[in-house]
Amino acid sequence: MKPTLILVGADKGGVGKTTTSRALLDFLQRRNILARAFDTEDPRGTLHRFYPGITEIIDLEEVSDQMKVLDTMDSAAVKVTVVDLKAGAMSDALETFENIGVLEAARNGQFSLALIHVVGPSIASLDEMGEVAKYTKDISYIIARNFINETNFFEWDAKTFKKYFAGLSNAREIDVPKLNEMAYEQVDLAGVTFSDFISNKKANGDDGSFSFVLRGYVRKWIQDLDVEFEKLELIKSIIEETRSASRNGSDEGEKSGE
Amino acid sequence: MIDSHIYIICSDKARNGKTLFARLYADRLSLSGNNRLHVFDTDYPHGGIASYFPDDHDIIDLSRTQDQVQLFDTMIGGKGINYVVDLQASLLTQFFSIFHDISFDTGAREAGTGVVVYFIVDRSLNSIHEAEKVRAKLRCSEFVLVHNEAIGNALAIPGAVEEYEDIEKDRDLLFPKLSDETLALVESAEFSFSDFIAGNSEDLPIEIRRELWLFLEMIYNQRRVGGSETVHLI
Repeated sequence: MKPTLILVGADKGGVGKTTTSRALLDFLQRRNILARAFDTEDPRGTLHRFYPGITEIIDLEEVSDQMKVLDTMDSAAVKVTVVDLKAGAMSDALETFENIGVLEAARNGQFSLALIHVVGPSIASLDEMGEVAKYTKDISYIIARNFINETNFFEWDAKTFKKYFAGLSNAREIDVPKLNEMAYEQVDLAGVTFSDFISNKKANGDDGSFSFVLRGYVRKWIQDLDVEFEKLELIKSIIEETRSASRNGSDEGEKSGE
Repeated sequence: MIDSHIYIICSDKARNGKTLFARLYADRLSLSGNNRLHVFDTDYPHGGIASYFPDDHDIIDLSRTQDQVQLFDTMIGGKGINYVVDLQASLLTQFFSIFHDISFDTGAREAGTGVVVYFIVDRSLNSIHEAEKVRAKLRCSEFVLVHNEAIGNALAIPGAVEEYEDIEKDRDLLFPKLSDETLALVESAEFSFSDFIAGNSEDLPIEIRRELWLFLEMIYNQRRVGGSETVHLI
């Protein structure tokens, strides 16, 4: 299976980068796709709090930490790497990756690279799309429109909407639906994955006492978000390659058992 | 094993006998079985049905998540308690949207609680359409369509019968019309169907008592559904 590096980022804070990363890891886990994650929110590590077993906190400005992510993609048993870029670090990370040849290697097909750019309903957030355009040529560029509130991303203003979204020929768009605030806070407070919250499980595996209503809200949100993820060619490809690798593994096992 | 029930009384329109029906149901429940009764009133903040059940009610503001949690979590965790929800017509869509999104009836059934939805059909064709929309939101609830004789008959509208028949339902129920005088009496805060049934209303005029007994008999004697786990009290 070809290694896949998925960067999740935004330059603006509070638009839901880590939430999107968590939802993506949850999606992959439920499909038995092994993934590892890097949290660049050094030293606090919000993503690390929810996925301590598979997440490492790094400082992407440090060469040694860049090596941890990039130089291990081929050798790591886990082929899907998710990097949650801290607020404000996306452009810098892309520039660094461009300078050291990471983007070029991806363009040449050495590995799959995707940028999930989480945007909120503000002009500042949307302006970032133009700013990163120089890096996203020939890589999988996904704009995740986070419906943090009851917004419509300027669809009411045709001129503004067209300015930001109509010209994105190389981008794929997904919508991150709004999650009920109280449900979000409860998951956050519990410090568990979305799936564990839905299943009423605490982080240590014991039964929880989470609200049925809030679990229902999270389940519905996850279901809606799954539909969005499943639209992406990148995700389809990961799922197919994982299935294929699994089939091959079974075939090899059968052969060796003969 | 279903050992308690949640009865949701709803309609797409206000003032068509919904609260009266809910009261009748709640009063009947309070007289039967070992389960306690609790009433949820969604007419926030003042309450409607709540005043008839002063010791066993909560008034819920469905626009607040905290209140949604209070309503649905309480009902799903209420072992040995039957619940009646008197749902405001204006909250019909929101309530059943939440109900469906959180798979409430599936969760309730897993917790040993059956859910029955009574939809009062108003006099318009649109009411039948709304009933169909509510039905579509249910997974394993029972669905009963109630016709209030006092508000007119939607089925008299051309084409309505065909659409009505297409709705998957467990039962139809006719809610008989009361005279204005008797209706005024039962709508007063002092009146209780359970007191009446228990024989505590001997001071009422004989005509009214007779009318009320006929009213209750007409409701209780209607066709029951066979094979259901739910005890349909009426």
